[in-house]
Amino acid sequence: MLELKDVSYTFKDGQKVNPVLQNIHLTIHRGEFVSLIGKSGTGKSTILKLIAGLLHADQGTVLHDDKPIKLGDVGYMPQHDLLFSWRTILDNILLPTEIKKQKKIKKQEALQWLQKVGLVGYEKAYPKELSGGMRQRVAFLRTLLTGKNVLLLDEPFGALDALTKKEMQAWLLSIWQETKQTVIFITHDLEEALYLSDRVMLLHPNDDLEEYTIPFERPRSRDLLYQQDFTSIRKKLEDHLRHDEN
Amino acid sequence: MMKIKSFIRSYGLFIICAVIFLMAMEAIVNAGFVPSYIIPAPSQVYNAIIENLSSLIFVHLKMTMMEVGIGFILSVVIGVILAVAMFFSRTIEKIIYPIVLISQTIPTIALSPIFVLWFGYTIWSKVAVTFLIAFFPIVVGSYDGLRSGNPEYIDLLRSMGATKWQIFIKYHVSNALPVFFSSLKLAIVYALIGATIGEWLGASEGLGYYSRRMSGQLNAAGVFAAITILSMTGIILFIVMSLIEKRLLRNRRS
Repeated sequence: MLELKDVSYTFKDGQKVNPVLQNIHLTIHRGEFVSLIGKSGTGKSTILKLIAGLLHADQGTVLHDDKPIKLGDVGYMPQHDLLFSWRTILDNILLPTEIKKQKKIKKQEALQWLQKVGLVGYEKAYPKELSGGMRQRVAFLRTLLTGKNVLLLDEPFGALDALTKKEMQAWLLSIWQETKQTVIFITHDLEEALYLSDRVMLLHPNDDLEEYTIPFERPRSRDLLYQQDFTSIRKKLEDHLRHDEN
Repeated sequence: MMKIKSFIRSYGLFIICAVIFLMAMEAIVNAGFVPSYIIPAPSQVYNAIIENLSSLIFVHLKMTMMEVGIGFILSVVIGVILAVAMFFSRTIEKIIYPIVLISQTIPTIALSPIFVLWFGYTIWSKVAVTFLIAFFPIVVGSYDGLRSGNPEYIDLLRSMGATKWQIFIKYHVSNALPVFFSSLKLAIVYALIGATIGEWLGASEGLGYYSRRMSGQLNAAGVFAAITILSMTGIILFIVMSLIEKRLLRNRRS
């Protein structure tokens, strides 16, 4: 379980002081898929960085299974794929296991994953040879191979074209159904958030977190996107988001 | 076939111009417009090289290359150590960086009597000049390369629980390589210049010494023979370094 208790964070750069987050409360249960949405600049990425341990809250605590979070506790996938151009695909994926000095143990697992995500034969290729969608899959596998039961995904499909994005969503769901990890997912795409998540959290500019439970059964198919229940939740979310912009 | 074509496309124009220039020089000197002790005809330079080929290559070039080799390796080792130390410690950076900079503002020629005083007329006075000239681009290049890291990559590694040393090895070092190689290419050419200057200041062997002796004898063809070999050596060293760079960095995004 992940808990943010009364968390505040202020960004300081010399004289400039910018309070990004104030008094955030958030609880995420084991195995849950939670999306975080909100307009730009509300601090969604900051929340992920606080959970990853990259930033420290000025006030309040971030707990992972009742212990304060520290670096290396969760898997973090930033916005850009950030593949290391001088490493082969396999070595990119094995990077987290290299850091933890278990590279040899995990190599078989990594090769199996490459097979599962349709990247067979690419293990010795270099990132420059891969398309955007493939690179994103590699970056995701790298996060997965951290072996952590919490994955933080910061707009993983933001830069992909619509068609590739759909493929990747289906792909992510199938993997998540297999591994049952806790996922916190940032996106600007409401449809994506609703389709993937158990819960959607809407972060308002005043730091209120509005919660939506997404009741649809799993496994979900894309037909869901055209059902009345789905579109009505989507409309409601859209209205609330638009309200923030005015 | 493709290689030849792309070679011609890259260098064809230069080669044609160079050939025309050399032919024009030959004609001008032969016609008596310029005395050959001012500018020798290309054919005279060629003859001067051929006549003394074995001593030029196996005595003088060999000596110059020894100085270049030792000076360059010292530059790389010490330059990289300094750059890494500056990268890890702000205090060291604040002390070393100004010293490195000042070392480049002192005219080498002014320092040379001191080098001769310290090292005598041994190879080490020449190595010292070579080092002084070549280590600067290496320190600056390595340091800038190490610092040029993208903070997002550093955050990614930190989120995996990497130590500062792991981040250095797995990210900063590889990330610094392109800039580092640019500095190596500069440094290897500078090293050759340094060795030549060092020989001018006092030596008994080497292409710098040879060209100085020839100029003392008003033998312009001999001077140009040494310069030609030096210049070709510089080009070859540069190309070798570029090939190593290409080989090591071949997988990077262009």
